Amino acid sequence: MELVSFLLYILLGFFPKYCLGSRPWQPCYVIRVEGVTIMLDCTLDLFELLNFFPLPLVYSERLSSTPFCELNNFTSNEQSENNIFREIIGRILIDSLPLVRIPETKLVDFSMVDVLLISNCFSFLSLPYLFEFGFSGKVYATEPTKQLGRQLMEELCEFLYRLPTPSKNWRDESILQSLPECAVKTLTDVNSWKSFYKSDDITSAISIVQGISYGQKLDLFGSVQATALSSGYCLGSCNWLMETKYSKIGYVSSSSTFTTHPCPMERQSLLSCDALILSSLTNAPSANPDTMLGELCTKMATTLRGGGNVLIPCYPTGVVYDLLECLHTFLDNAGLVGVPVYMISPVAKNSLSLANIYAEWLCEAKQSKVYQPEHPFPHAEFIKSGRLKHFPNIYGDLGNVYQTPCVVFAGHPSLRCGDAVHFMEVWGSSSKNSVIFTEPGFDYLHALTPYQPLNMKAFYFPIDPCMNFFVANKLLKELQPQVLITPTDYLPSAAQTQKDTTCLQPEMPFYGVKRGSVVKVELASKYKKIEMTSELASTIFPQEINPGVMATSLSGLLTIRSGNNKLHPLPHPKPKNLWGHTNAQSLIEALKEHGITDIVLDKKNNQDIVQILGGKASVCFNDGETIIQNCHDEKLRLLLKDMLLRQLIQL
Amino acid sequence: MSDIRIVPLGAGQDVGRSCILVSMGGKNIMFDCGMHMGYNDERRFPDFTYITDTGQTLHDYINCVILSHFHLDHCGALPYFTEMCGYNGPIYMTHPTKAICPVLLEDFRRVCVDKKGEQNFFTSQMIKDCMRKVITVNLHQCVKVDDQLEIKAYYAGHVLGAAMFHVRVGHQSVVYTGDYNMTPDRHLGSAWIDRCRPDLLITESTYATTIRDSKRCRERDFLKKLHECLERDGKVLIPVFALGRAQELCILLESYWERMNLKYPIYFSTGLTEKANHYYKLFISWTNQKIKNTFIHRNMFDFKHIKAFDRSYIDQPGPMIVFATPGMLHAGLSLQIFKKWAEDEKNMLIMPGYCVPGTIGHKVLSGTKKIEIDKKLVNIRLSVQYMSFSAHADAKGIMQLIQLAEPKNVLLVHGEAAKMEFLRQKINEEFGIHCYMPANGETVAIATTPSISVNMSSLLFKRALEESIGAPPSKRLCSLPNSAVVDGLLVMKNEVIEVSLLTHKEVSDEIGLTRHKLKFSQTLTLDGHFLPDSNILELLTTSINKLVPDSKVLQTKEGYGLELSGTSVTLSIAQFLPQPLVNLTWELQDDHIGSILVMNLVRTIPRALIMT
Ligand SMILES: [Zn+2]
Repeated sequence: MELVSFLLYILLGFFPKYCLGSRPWQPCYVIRVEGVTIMLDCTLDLFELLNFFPLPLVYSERLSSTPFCELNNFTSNEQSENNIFREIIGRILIDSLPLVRIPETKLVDFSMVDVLLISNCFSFLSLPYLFEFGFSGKVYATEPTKQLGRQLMEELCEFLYRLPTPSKNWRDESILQSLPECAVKTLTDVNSWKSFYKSDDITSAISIVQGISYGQKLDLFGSVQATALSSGYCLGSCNWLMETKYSKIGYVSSSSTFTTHPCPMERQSLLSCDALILSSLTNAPSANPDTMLGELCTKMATTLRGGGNVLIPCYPTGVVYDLLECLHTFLDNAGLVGVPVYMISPVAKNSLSLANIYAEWLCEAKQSKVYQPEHPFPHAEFIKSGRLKHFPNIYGDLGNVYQTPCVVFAGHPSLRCGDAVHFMEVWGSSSKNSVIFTEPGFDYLHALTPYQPLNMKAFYFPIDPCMNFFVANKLLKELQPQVLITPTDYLPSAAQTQKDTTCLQPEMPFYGVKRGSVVKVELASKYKKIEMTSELASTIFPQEINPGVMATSLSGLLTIRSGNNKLHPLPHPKPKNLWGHTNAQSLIEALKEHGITDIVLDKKNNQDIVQILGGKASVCFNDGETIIQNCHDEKLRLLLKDMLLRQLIQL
Repeated sequence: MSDIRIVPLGAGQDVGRSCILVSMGGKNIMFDCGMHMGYNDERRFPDFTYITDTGQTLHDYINCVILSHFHLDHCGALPYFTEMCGYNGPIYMTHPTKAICPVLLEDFRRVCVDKKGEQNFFTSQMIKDCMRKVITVNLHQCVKVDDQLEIKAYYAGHVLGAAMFHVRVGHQSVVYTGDYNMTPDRHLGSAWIDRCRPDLLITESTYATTIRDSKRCRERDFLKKLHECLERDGKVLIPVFALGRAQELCILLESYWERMNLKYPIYFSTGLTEKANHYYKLFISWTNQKIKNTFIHRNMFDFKHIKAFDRSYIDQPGPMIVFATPGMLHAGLSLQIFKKWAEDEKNMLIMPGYCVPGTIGHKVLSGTKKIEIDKKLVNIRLSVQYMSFSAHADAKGIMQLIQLAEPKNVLLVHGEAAKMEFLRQKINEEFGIHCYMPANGETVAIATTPSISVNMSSLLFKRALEESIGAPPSKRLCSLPNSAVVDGLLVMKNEVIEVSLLTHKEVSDEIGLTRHKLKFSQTLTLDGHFLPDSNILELLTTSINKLVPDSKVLQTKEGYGLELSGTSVTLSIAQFLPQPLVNLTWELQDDHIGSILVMNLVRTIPRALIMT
């Protein structure tokens, strides 16, 4: 039965053998434990953006003259009408409004989900879609996660909808089948792809997210207590601990042991979980973030010294805060003091301002800055001194101050939408300029496809602070969970022996999961802890029923509140019950002792019937019940009742 | 051991030097460590000899110190306590309190030592060393001090970072409010706590008898008086503490100046201003929703009309408004300005907050017309206005908080005895709970009733919920009831300490005890023949109603029978002809009903309807 175990459904995940390279793990799980259905994260899979043609910000001769691919089985007339597939260096890109993928919706009825627990600002971009599948549960996220997640949603929404883009019908079976084979392989399951939500959907989705603190104990229906624990990955990011009165389940996703800006990862509370879900390790396992940062700076300096510009495609929050922080020290040291740094995003101002009001959520060094009082992040000072300038887009004030050479931070890292598209167009033709990728979530070579042939230099220095396998293996040794649940692709494949730097090597029982998996984990929980008030305790009198065993019936009013279930007295306690067995022989003996001897014992069908005084009364012995029948002599009836009660226990 | 003992070392029937010692479950917790503004002698700090007289050191005795907010009457004695009395155990407070508290302490120290030349006072270094020991807490975060002691902070309004604390040791718990405000203002939200049902709520009672008029009226009044004074070329002095009400009043003036397009200069004393406002900007997340929502586009703490004050402005002619510290006119710049301006009747003094007895602020407010300041007699001619802008809960607010938290007992501190007495009675009448108001050094013991921990069968739990919902529940738990009736069997085994509450089925599985029913069944013969159209069930119902007055007789859905609702008693017609036979059954618990019916039912069927 489900009270003593939990079920885990994996609704997103990744597609290991994908022809565009492996895509990152996208967490979205549903677990059922103690009768509560909890969704853990609901990431939006943005990987399909790469299948689309970039959305230019201004008319681009080059982009619009990119040739269409030839559709088989179509006449030339039909070709021009239906063809929105452009072909560049052997790849097919769809010239229509880009679509995204949401979690699996058929595995679990979303209207059954009681609670959604969110880990970080990147991990709940599917939230606005959940409602159309009947979701109406509670949503919890830390306050920074809620606010920064909103910025991510709004940025992408603005990128995709700020200029009207016709959404064309290309998902027709007949059209798809006429595509070259390379496209057919990448365009799978296209009918489940979704268009991105609108601003109103974001507002209403965010309004139901309840902001919480690290260490705040959330009571989920008196059955499960959930606590957010700092995960060290980004501002406000957390892991989740879910405790029932008798078991402990940990959910560890995007966590970092590096010392960057966030509050360090909290591990103590995750010790010896009954089950640990470990997910979202680094997407760049072989790249050390510090080394990458060093390389980035070097290439940037070379580019700037050569009179070129640097584009860093990025998200508006996360690692970008660290980049901005170390960039200025670096530029100063490299003698590039006057080089302007621009951050261009519709949410740049919001994101930069928000980062500086969440001191409680930052590492100790940043936290103590506010006691001075100073801003935790130096970018506030850079903005004040004019060294960092931020703009909502390329259209407005940027033009008045724009100077080259410069460094530009702009989205989107997929290079399919956002202001980065414009800089790729403008700077792509000169080998003086550089584009430096730091987000490992997208295949950078494929991101560059529509800009080929490219003269601009392209570098890939992925900076992903999440744990690598080596650190994760150390963590598992430290935490010692009873059972580990983790993506199959993190586990060693049977074919070859692998080192602990290339896969997880758990020493405890484990389950490997992938998209669509359902895992059932047994937990020993037969009881719930409740408290009995002393008022109620004073009304009960247990009796000894076996040697060393006392018992009493107990009725009460159970109040269910904040993980503290209490049993109070009822105004009218429930009647006591009879326990034990009766037998005919004992009754006959008792009657004889009382001088009644006119007794006949009938036995039929395992049923004993005692006839007393020639039918004046009869007693029928069944399994679990005794019936006194047709006794019109009230004295005799009470006598029989008494004798039978003596054979039983009343509790 | 099951008592909770409380003794105020300060703030018992008094305002100032808040310090309340609570003992429960073998733990000692100190709430606040404040100083008294009205004294310059040893009464300035709480009397810690109460603890050291036990023969224990401070940190052996006290498990933790919890500070509610940065006002000096709540934190002013902390460096003295840690650095001079030697406490080195844990100290808890919120981030903003940790940030702002040392600023005020340093300010206070400077006034006492550098200006007044007091000796034997804590040093700047001591303040720094003291703050280094502080552990910060976030709102709603459950912090474990040790295995048994857990604390949780709630938003208190009042000033930036002010918090109420819920402290739990085992099954006992106490809420300490510190100072709080139940109505949101221009920069802070209102205090909130969940229904945590502590054994004791220790609440401030500064405005125990006041129900304050609407804030809007008070503000309008304040602005009007201020404006009038400026128009007749007067100067307005508003003594404030650098952080707290000052920001609230600045926002108020700033928006008024903007709306009315006024040009009169507003000054804010000391270099602290900019720094103070910076704290407010960094801790935006502790302000109210409106400020939080708009801070990115317009930060309310970037004041356009309010400039820094310079000492030379004191003698400058023309109207002006000056906010000067400290707030009770007991020392520093506000007192200096007051000395200069007090004798001109054109000028105005606005006191926006409470002044403790003993301060010049208190004397002025109580109408004293000649006051000696620095050995010089000053004639008070300027107009004196008291405007309560202190962000404390009034009587209504205190009652609201009690309603929210549902404590079993209330204890009043941080107020005046006479006013407390009034509120004490009111709480007692309205909520029917005990309310205490100990004086400093007086101990109150509150008996708590320990509850017993029970392992309840998950199956029984689930079944109780199902029955409470009244239908097989959906898999959703959102619609869970708040309570459910449970009926099970409590089993205690010698070898296990914990008791378990099981379903009947589980009892038979675990200890081999099975349920048994004792039933009764009687066939009653109704003599004679009934009229063909007489309804026997109706006749029976009438008779049963007479014999068993409280019963509710229902016709059974199937067959031809009756049942007594809520009991095990049933009747069914076994035969109509030649004469009706009624089969009556019941179970042991309804034997009294069964017995009455057996003996009387046949006899009470109306004879007139029976043909013989
Ligand atoms: Zn206060």
